[in-house]
Amino acid sequence: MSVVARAAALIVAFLGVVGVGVFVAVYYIGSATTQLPIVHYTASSGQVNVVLQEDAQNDSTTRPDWVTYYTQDPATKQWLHTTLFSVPANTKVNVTIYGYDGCTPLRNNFFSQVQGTLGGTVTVSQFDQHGKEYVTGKTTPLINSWADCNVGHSFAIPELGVFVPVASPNAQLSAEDLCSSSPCTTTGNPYAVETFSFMSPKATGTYRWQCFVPCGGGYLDGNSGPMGTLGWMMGEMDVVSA
Amino acid sequence: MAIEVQPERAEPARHRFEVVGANRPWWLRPGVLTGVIGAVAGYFLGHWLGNLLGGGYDRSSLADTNDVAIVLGYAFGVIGWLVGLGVFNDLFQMMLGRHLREESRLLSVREPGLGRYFRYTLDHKVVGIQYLFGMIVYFLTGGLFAMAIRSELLSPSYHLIGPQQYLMVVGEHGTMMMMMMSSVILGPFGQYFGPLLIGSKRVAFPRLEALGFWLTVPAYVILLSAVLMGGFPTGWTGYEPLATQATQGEDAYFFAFGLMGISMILAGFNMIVTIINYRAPGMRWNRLPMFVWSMFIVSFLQVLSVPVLVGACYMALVDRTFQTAFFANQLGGSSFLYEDLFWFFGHPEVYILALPGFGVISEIVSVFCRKPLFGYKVSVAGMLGVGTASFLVWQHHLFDSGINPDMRPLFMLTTEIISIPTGFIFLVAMGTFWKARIRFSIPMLFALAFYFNFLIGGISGVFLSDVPADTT
Amino acid sequence: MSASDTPAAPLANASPEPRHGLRLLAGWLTLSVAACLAIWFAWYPHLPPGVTSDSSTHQQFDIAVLAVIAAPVVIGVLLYFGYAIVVWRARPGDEGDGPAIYGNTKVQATWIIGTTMIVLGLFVFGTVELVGPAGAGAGEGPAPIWKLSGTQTTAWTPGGNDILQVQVIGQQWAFTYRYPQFGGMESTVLDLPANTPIEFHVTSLDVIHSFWAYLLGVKADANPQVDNVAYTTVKTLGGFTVHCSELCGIWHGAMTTSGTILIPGAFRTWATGVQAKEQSEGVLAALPPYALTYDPTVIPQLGQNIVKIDGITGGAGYYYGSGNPVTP
Repeated sequence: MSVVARAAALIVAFLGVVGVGVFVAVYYIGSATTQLPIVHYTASSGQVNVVLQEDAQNDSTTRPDWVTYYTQDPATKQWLHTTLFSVPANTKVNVTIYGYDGCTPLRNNFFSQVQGTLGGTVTVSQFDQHGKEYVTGKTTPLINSWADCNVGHSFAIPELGVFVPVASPNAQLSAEDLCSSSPCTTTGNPYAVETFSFMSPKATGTYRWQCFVPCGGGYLDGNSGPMGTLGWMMGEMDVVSA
Repeated sequence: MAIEVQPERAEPARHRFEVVGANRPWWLRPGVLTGVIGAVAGYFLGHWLGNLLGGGYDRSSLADTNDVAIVLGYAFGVIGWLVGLGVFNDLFQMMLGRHLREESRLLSVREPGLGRYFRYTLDHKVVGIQYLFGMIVYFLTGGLFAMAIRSELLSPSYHLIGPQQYLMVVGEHGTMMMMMMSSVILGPFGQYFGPLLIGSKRVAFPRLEALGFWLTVPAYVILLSAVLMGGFPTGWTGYEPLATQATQGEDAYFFAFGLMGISMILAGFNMIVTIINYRAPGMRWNRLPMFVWSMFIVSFLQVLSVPVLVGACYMALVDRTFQTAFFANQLGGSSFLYEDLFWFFGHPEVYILALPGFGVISEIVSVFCRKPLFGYKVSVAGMLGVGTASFLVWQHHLFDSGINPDMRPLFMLTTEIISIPTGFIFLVAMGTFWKARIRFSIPMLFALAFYFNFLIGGISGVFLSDVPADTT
Repeated sequence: MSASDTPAAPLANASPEPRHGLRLLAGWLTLSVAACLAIWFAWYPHLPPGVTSDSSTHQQFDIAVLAVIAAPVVIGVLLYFGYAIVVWRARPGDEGDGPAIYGNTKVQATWIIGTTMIVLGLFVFGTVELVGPAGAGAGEGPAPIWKLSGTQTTAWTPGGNDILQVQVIGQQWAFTYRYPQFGGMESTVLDLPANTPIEFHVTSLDVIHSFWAYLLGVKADANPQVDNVAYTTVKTLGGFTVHCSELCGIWHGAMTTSGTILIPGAFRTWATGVQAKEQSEGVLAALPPYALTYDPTVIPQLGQNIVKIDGITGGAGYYYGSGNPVTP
């Protein structure tokens, strides 16, 4: 080949390599978190209401058996498959979590204790598949995941010292009739509703949150898969200026 | 000590080999193109086989993942790549009792051009150039990942990439560098210059040498394919049990590392036999150039330490696919086993990276100081000492990990002692600089920078070998 | 350091060859002494990790000693190379070779003996510094040989020489701390008493973590099913941070906890307060019995319903199949 042809071939090859690199960088590395929607909660009368649910399965095509959280959009009341949300700073955050997944013991039962919430307690109601409320509004500082098996997952923001076990249907109901579609609704399957509050910090920033129940089924120690992927069982809470 | 006293003639002996008349067009000859076709076909075959074997496991339905399919896909893909490349062609011809078609080793003489660089060739110079370009591509990729890390770290509060992607980028960067760069000098420079420096026309096992190069390409591609699967969270060390817990990208890490390990073993083995057996008459051991000594010692390090890594990668892969428990503490395995296997390789690995550099700069300084190297025997002793002692120090990576406490003074001693032969390199350099006529060419500037860099590296090694300082 | 070489080509003005060796020696001695003094008096008090604890004080001392010994070596090599590239560079137009010096036994022997002595001396120093301060804060594994002297008791009281036992439990992705001498109460913050021998038992529930309290000079890997023991005695009051220093997954870098060093009386008040709170809330009863390592098989003993009704035997995961009794 002539010198010109060789030079041209080399330049084309080099640009090709650079192009592939840029493509990989932008598409794969840069895009994953931006694909997840962030649900923005705004304050009304000095409080925000964050609503989450956790399910045994999900509606994705690639990983239908992974457990996951869903976040409810405050405006449309739709359940979005994301775990990124934002709250204003220095505000009282009221969290409501619907627990549709069955019970699983905590690996470290210390996290059965409620920590970091206002009052140090959570309020739990549990319903069976016919809608009968068999536990009404119980306020408790501890949901023992080993003795009663009433814990499905947990919600913890370690940087703020918030560690909350999330209630689930009891042991008997967890063995049958769990919700099998996603996102779940309150009819036709047992579930638990839990509410608690904490103060969002004064300093803005991003605070990670995670579940401490090893619920990544099929993974060693249950702590990979959904437990280690944003948008499933762990997420980020953005604290923005009010 | 067999010295080749009948060097082969420059022309192929025509009665032994049939020369193919008209060459087929380049896209019909075995090369990278057919290799890619083979790789893709192999991958799909392996993936299907893996689904057949492993689809029924409990964990496959719980986690929606089938690591057996991925690993078998990689395995068959690599075999398909090698078959498509023509690696086994000569072997099958000989097994069937047929004459070999071409004396491909001397093809470059009869058929100059770019095409030979994309084929399975037995000419050591062509393999050296192939290695050079390969290593440039791998180094560039690793460097781009490093730039991604740096871009993310520019600001503490603004995040360019998410946490999972950042962990993936860090792991990819580290693995690309440590894994691929171990052959960065033995490959291009060792294969090209090694035989020339000992006065030989060939290496001992040209097929193994070429295979060693062509295995690096699937290793690179497989490592990059981890990006498509979300990456791996363990960084370049692949510590268990996190590695068993990780999602699919970890398979790519272990498979690529194991493949690269096989490549390193073959390259080292070939280099040892070449240097022992193919020296020209009169090329005595005490006349061997310093670079050849470093290649020789590095090859021993590769042949002796890399099989341990391949073993560790294999065990980790069966832990991840067939639910063995080599590294699961609760079931009788041991996470310490992985750490020991990995670092038994890992410490010689860093000397595999460093020793060729010692050889290269010893050659450079003597030329650009216009005087012979000071202390030839000291320099060789230093490299031999470093090579031998490198097998005795690996526990210094594990000082705080809960190993037996009485092991630590022992490994403190060996780690301190290994700095003595490393110091010989500096002694030799300083002696060569004494009353020299130094010319500041680019290679000389690089050599000076090397000494500055390794001074920092070597002295910090003395700090870290002290367990209390290492704990800080 | 006079080399036995033939003189180079005579220079134009025929001045005698300068005594390179003496020049280098003089320069090296001056700079080394200055550097060693600067390191010892100016830098040593500010070296990491500080004087918060016994271990960290010893580590700081070690680093200072190593720096004082390394400084002359570094200065020697850099000075030599700097001198060489200035004095022995090829002048423009000079195409000659340097003198063919193949070796010098005296120089080589001096170097080898010198480096060997330095290195072996450092080995002895390092061993003494490791053994003396009870392992220097490094994790010693389940059977430590260098321990702190003190009394092993089941209930810790301040003022005496009782060893405080703290279990550090690493999990993905937080550290928690158990105090067996206070009823086995567990906490997410690590508060410690000053002037007390402390025995850390570091273990993990899932993958390898590493307990690194930088200011306390303690680092011990947390492996599942392994009890890694480290010792220290804290001297000064104040706060400190604990980081994880073994990559354990996506939030490895966020696995930080804080701790405070209190006077022993205040620490006892805090610890008994937490114990009482956890007792009244039922947390202590919910925790497994204190053990040096944990595996999930303790769950069926404490949670019959889970086994009977849901068939769950371990801490979930089911990587090894639900029939496996241990199911890590």
